[in-house]
Amino acid sequence: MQYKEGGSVRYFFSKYILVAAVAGSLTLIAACGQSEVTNSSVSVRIASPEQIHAHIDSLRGNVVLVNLWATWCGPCVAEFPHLTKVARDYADRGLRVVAVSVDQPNVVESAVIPFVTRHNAPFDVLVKDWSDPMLLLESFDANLSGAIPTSLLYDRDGKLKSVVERGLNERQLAAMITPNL
Amino acid sequence: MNSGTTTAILATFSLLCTVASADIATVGVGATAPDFTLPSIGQSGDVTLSEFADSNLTVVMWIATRCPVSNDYNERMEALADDYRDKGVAFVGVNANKTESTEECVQHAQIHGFSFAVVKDDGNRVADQYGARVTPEVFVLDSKRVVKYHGRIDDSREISRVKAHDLRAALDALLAGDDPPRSEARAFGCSIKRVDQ
Repeated sequence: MQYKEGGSVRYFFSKYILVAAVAGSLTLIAACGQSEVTNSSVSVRIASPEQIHAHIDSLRGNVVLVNLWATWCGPCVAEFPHLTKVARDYADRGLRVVAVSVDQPNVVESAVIPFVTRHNAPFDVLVKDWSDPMLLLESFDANLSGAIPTSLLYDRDGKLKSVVERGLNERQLAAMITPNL
Repeated sequence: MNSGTTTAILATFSLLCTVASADIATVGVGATAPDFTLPSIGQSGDVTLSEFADSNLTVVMWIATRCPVSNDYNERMEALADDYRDKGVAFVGVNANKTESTEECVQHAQIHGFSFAVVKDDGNRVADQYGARVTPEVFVLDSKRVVKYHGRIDDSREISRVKAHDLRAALDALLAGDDPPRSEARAFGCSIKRVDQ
């Protein structure tokens, strides 16, 4: 398994690796990350705040839900399955989800990729690089408290429509998203 | 660690944590911070903030026992308290997380060798008064409890990558009679686990 900074990397896992994951060997997953393609894939990359915003900007024309989260954050972990659900449910109506992780870059392989893989996240996961976390927060909204999870919803014109600084369930996420679809 | 264990840990995290409180007004720089009396986690009874009026400065730090971000700062908190003690700066740690018991706080303080007072803010009443949102988050008060600096300790959980020592810079400036180079620097960390409203 590998990741790289600044570029998109897609990880493909064979059924054999998934068996290994069930068996509890993340090390084995890491060793076999380049195995043959199956229906399970996730996208994780380390990115600077500028690259994160460039990615979000590239999705203009869609409704974009940005979620700031981390694997060490309990409410974020609880919210993540709901994110994957709404990402799938509303993709056809033009929703794109971008999960921005504030995990340390040195735990991408040990924590972020296994977590995202386990949830089979159907969206890009960008892990903030080593830059100042405050700069990232301020680049989204100067009024953010600094707590995660935080969800920010942008309309099709890229205008910030809604900010919620707490974990949301599927129903709450849908209520946030659907008026803008 | 196998996936089952990982899942169990993550599930436990989920149970332990609640949402961040988004609608809390923070005591701003220049405002007078509320006095408080809270029980010490040790054997020393209550701690009253105004009793630190003889100190040149008082640093009120919201801390946690389980937050990975706050825990990354344990050594730095103690080093700061130690470095500035002889300069008349008092440090008070406040734990307002409903998920962390006093007993847990005692053990945590012992393990990490905290020499500063740690108090328990059950019901997060004082956290609400201050508008503290995350751990770690600090307020630097002068002898009249006027907030002179608010926010983070520095700019990286990873100590080797710290470039901006915001709290240290604020203390140095204030002790020299100057304004801090930066009076606010957004704190980043775990949400304070508040009681349900």
